[in-house]
Amino acid sequence: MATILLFIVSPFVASGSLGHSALQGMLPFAGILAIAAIGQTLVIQQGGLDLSVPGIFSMGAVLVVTVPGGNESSLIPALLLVGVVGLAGGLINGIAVTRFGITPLVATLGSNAIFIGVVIQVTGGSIAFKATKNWQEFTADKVLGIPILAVIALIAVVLVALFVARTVWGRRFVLIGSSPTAARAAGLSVERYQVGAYMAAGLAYALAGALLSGYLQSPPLLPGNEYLLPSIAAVVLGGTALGGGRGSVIATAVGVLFLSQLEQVISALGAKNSVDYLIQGAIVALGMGLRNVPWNQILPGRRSNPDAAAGPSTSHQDTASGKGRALLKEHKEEDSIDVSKT
Amino acid sequence: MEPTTTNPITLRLTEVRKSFGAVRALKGVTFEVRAGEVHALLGENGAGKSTLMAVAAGSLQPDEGTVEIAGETLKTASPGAAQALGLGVVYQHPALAEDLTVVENMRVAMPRKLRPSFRQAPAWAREALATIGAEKIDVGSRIADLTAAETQLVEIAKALALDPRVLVLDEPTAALESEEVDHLFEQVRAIRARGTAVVYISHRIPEVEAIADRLTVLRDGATRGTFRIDEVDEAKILELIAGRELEAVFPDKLGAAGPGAPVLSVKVLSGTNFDDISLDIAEGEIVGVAGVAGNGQREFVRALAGLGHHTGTITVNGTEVNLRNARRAQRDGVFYVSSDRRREGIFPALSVRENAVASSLQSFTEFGLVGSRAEREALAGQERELAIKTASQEADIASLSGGNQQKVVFARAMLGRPKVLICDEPTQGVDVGARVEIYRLLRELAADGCAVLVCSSDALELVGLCDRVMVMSRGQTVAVLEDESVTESKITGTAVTATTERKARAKKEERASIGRLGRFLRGDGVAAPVLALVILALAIFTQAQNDSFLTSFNVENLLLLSTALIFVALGQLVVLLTAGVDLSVGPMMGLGLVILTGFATDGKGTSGFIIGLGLAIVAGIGIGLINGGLVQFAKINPVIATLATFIGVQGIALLINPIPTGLFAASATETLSKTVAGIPIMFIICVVLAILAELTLRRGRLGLALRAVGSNEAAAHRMGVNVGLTRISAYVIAGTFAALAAMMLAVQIGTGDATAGQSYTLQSISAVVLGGASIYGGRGSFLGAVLGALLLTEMINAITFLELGEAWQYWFPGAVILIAAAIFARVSRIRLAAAAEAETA
Repeated sequence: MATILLFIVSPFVASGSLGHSALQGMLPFAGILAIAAIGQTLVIQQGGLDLSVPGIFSMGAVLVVTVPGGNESSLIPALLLVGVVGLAGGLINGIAVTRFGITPLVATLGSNAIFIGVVIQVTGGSIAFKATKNWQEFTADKVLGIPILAVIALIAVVLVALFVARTVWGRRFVLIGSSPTAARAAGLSVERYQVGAYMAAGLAYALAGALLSGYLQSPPLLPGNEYLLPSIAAVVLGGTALGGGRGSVIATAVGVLFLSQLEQVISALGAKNSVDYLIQGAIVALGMGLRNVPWNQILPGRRSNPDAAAGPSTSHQDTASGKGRALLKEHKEEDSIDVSKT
Repeated sequence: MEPTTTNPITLRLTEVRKSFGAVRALKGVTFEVRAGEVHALLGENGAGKSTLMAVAAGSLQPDEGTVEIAGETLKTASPGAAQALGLGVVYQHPALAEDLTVVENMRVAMPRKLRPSFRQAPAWAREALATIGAEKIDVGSRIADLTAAETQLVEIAKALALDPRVLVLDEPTAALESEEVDHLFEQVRAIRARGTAVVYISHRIPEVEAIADRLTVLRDGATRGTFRIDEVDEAKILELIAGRELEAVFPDKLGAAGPGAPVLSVKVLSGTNFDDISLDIAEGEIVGVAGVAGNGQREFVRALAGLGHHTGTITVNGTEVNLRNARRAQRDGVFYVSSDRRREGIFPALSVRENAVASSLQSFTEFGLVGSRAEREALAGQERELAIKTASQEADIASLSGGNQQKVVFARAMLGRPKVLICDEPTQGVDVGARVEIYRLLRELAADGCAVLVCSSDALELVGLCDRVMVMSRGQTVAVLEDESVTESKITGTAVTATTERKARAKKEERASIGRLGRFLRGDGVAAPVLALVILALAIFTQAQNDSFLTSFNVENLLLLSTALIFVALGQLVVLLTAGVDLSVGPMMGLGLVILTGFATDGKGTSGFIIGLGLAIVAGIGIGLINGGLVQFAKINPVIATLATFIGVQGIALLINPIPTGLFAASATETLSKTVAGIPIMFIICVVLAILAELTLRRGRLGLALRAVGSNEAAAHRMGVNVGLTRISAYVIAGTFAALAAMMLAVQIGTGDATAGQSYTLQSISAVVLGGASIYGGRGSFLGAVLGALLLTEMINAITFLELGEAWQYWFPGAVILIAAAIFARVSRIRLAAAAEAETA
């Protein structure tokens, strides 16, 4: 809703921010962010968090340029390699989190360093090539006047949303995100799906990186750094709760549009990058803060079901901020032992 | 026994009302306890006992009504205030922080005037434990390593040490053995004689008759009256508490037709906490599993559900089945309804429909796509069958009452067409109406040829429902009761009088060895010596490759370089201890750098430096307040809250310095780089600061509070720790340290680069995790953090000397963090396993 509001308001606040050229400039980058944010959504929905976006994204961006080295015939193998590397990176994350029981925050923090090391090693510290001509042309292409990067992102979002909503695997994925312990008791293979989430996410980051390379023609060494925080911010604005639960890639995509258009409006107003940061930070904090206000109790007539409030045990004020710790606590709670913390 | 009618009233609750949403938990309860009496409070689960006591203890704010303790009104609902007025509580689930030791827990819970000094504390704690006959408990061990009974004893000793005017005991004997109960009663009588008012909450009527002077019964949030203990007998009490007619609730049993062919056959099944159990369940039969809690019943039924390791053979309808995990079990028709509905039953935030079909998705699919129509129709059938009351199939599962949630969980099993249904506490937290439905369902299921196994701690339920009841003790079957012998007295009698001995097992030894090794590995300080060795080894190795590494110049340089990371890591650790995380420290360093290079430039002299540093610290404190406020008051996940400030603060820093400008005063750089005996003074300050912080963490009130909040927030609140203040302080401290780190960063870079701090966010987390801190909160070591930061700096430095590629600057730290985290995760698993073992042994 806020996004629609922003789009309605933006022409008035900053004329030109909704103009044709402005949109054409904004959409490709929004598309790339959306693809990366799909991955982040999947991981966060599984109660994880992925800080390895910069590493995997940059690997994708760099490999698609350096492997062909300008040679068109090597473009397809390079793209395949990008996909494999993304999946492998995600696999490492998934195994570190599920098998070794490392907290997602720490696991992806460590793996990210390793992936960045790979980028440095592959390039030797600088990129000597440009993306191949075909790849440049493909990523700069338009479909019905819409930048292809935005179209690809749209298709990816729709496919993932359909997959989650309509397939058995998607449904199980949602169930496991909601409660891994209940899922295990209900006979689902929890680890397999959690690892799968990290792998799909790795694939998304790597492809997003590769697409950016083509669009920019010659990418910077570590382009992924710019995409970590926005990817998380978009997921959070989209309403997927950190710590797992129901999540929506469509809502994330809307979050991406919001962030991108916000940036557009701010720059059209002539403000600097720095102001953009400031406003983004404030919006993430506000967005989350407003959501945590107990509206049900404030607005009359919107009372929750009487039984829902359950007895004293669930609404005890002691546990009020327990949810905020869910993300950090998650793996400890998986072992169902009384003495473990709740 | 008569002085109780004349003694002054020490605890008085007047017309207390409390609602949770639309549920009225307390409907105007007045409750008075006199000095020198033991006043029992009785009632069913959900009658309002715990809510009433939470109000009395100040941990819950009543909607209306007053609390008076020892003649003074409790003005604000705060456990600390109630404690100060002289109220002590023994909670059924002890309010203890698992990561703190026994003595630390007892100490942090004492109000200032009763708190012993750090030196005296162990002796004081031992003495307190000895008064209740628990001198065997090692006051230096962590709560997490104690058994349930020991934990309960610590909780009791902690409350008694307060020397309370009012003592509330909430089911204090649930985990205790009879000898320990005797000790406890002795103490209760002793403090009663001293004039303390005691509130005794219990389900066990014999206990109440043994210890109480008066009793009050609660039902549905209202009192049913207060009586002298000699005015009422057991039957009368039961009638007051329950008032339900038993017979109407249960369906008819199997009757004369007798059971059919066996469906489930278990032969010599052994596993964790149970041994050699054989059991057959025939068509038409419902079999119960009974026993005193913790005698292997739960583990046994979980093993059958595919949720526990086991050996032995299990056949379903004559075919041997493999129950390695729940998926395999379900494939063979074995379904399970967990006792823990909240964690293992429902999928929160999902709809009733999604919850119900979770185990049977495959049967509602076409070409791999889920068909919501087929799902809806199947569920509609179950809704009718089980009389599930829900607004719609798409309603959030959490909007249903406990009973209806449980029915949905049953519907899930039903949709899987079970051949064997295993239910653990099927009616826990379920209202009477839903209970009747569930009993009827189980009976119909059995009649349809499904084997039904019911594990329950409610003997009456087993009597009413089951055709046969297997009683377990110490992991073995002691009796299988049939027909007329299925009575409450027989079930409890058999369970309590069993003389079986646990099978001697090699496991014990194993556990002991885990205990010793584990205890070493588990210590907060373990990372420090290991890190020190690694740092030394790396230094020696690098020196062997390149002898210019250990020159005094490089060592000095390395130590100076490490100080920025050390400062920020110390701050990060404080936050991590509270189970939070501060991502914004990096940009905060950038902002500090920008401020410092703006004010502390050449020619501004010392005053410029002081103003600059002062402003940087003020900024750090301000951002810390924002972070703490977002986490504490807006209840935003720390990751998101500090992510938001990360972005915002970076913006502010860039706003001031869009491009790096300003030059840090050369004189300041020179002063801050001064050395003593080849060691930078700032490094020495860092180490001293870390040592002081370490001491505070172990001994000081703030340190204990930080760890208690991180370990178990609810328990910390009940112990009287000001959770909000503690948490916000942590973020403020982190902000302050980020400003100090910025100062050292200024020495390194010199110019005001707004983004120079960014990489320090992740580095600081790495350093702290390397130093042995738990990301789950409650544990960590400042010295470990110093060494972690030092190791990270040394690694980067050594790579240049080893002439390795630049990539190693990333690979090295990344790999070290992953390995360290994997080891810590492993250790904490051993810890949990050991604790579980201790729990059940």
